[in-house]
Amino acid sequence: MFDVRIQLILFWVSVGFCFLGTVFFIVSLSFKREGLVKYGVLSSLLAFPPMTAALIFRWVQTGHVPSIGMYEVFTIYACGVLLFFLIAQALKPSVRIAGTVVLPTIMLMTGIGIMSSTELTELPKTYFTYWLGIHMLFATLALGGILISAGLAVIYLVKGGQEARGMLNPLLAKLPPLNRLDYLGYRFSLFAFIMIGIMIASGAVWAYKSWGRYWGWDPIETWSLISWLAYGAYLHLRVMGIKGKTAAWLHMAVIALVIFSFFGAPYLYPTIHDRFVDGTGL
Amino acid sequence: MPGKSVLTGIWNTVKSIKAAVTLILLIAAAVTVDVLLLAKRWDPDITSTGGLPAGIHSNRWFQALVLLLLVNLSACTADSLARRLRARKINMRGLGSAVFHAGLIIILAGTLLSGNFRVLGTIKLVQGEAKQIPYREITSRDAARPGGPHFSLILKEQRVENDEWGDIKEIYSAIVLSDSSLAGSEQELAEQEKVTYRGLYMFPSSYGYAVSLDVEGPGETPAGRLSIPMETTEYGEGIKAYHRDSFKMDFLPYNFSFKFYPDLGQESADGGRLINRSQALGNPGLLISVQDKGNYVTEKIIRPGESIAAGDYRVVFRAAKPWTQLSSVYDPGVKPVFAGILFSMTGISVLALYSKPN
Repeated sequence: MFDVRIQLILFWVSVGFCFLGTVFFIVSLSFKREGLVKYGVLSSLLAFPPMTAALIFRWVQTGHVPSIGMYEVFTIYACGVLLFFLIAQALKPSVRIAGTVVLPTIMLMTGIGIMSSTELTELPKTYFTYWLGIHMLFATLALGGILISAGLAVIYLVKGGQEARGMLNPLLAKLPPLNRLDYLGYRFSLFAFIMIGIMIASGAVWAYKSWGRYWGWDPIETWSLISWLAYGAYLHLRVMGIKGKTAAWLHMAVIALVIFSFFGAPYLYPTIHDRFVDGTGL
Repeated sequence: MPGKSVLTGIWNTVKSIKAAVTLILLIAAAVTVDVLLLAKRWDPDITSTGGLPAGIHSNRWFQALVLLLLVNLSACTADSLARRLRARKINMRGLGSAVFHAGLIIILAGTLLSGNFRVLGTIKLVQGEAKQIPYREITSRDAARPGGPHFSLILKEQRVENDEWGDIKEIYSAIVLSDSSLAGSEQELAEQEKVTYRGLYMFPSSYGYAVSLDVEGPGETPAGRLSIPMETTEYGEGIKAYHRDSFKMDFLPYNFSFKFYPDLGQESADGGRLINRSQALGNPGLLISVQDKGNYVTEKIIRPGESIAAGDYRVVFRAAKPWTQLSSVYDPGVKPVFAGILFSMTGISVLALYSKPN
């Protein structure tokens, strides 16, 4: 019942729906078919149950929250981001179009996860703490906020560019005005900033309980700090009056940095976060 | 007045958001360069035992940048709060911002305290032997800080729990902590579980064996009794070696090397090299090599009760005992940092709820 094969089938079903949703979103933008956006949202909604079921099966199979190795980490992040997107678009329908960026990213993350090793690994003693769940939860929320704000920043730049050329896509024209998109992006980046902060703080408490120090300059810790500082600088620059296109490009640069911290940095260094990416270490 | 305008200029610079952004970017840039260079020298084992890699964070100029940011944040927060109070414009957004920045100030102060006063150490306890720990010395970077209070630690017993394949699943160390004002309190600690004493945080971080030796001089006169902790080297897959190289005893002119086997066996039934059949004490054996000024004297593997001759002396292997090493951390910055985290998280949540577009 909880076999890896069943999990993989469920994940592939999910990837299928994400792919379908991505097609709907892209076609709706490219061919000015506004009606397809709702099918994009429906596909993302359909992608959620099989992904959640697969993760629950993995949880039952391993006896711990999926959090070890690329298979578990990428899929749980993908599921969290998907849930975050579904809630965000239900509360604020204007962010639906961000699915153009969010959904392919979820598909990519799930794909990377299920292409990785599904081997069971024993959880190290230092992971037997609820701080792991808290840390992962806020990392997922941060990622959700970052991806939606990335989607909004991309839409802002595309819409801004088209407006400047005087040839606006009718679908984009129906989206909120540029200043509203800018504001929404700002709110989601503020949300991501808070979530990264809580993720770092919960990691610090966990590290203190495990190793007697709240900060060890572990490369992943350090990259998280750099991301947080970059977000802090970006938000202060906004307070100083930087907005519009400059702010959107700056925001994209910060997002790239954060994405690297999440998914690039763990491959550059042997760190105490190794368990997250290859299930070894410690 | 030119003096006043200079002071006003300095104050305006110190409290400016531009200065804050500049400092944040400078710190971020310094940390980024450091973390890129870190790839060459990073050892995750250092951090997992509580240590820190050498890096820019220990440099005075980096700490000065953090201090400048602390001053800037304090000035910004105080100025903003004062302006709001004067204008009677205290709202939730302003309050959230003030609490968030106050939290950051406390965190920065805590990190500076940690950076300058955190002390890391190790305490090795051999089963059955009491050890007096000089509290003042172990909690200070100044090693010459004598005087009380002292406390004592005894590793009463080390208990090994094996899994179904016979490999070590968990090691528990029953540790008794006492001082002159306290009755001894006993705690059984698994790896990474902590015992604290007046802000000093101690947790088992590694394990091994110590061998007890009796040394007899000419005519079987007792020359000394020693307990020598072996060093534990791990080779992965649960394979460990217990050894001590180039060990010198005060009363003997020789250099000793020891290799300890908790459960001695041979690779195959008809001989082969010596191996450890398990990590638990079963059939202990001690390989002793004796050297005199670099020249090999003798080498022998002995069991408890057996001895090896070195010149006119005889070294008797009495027994083997387990040891537990505690990693100790004394960090006066921890409480401010966690208090600051609470403040800043509360503040930023309020700020986010009441934020408006700019």
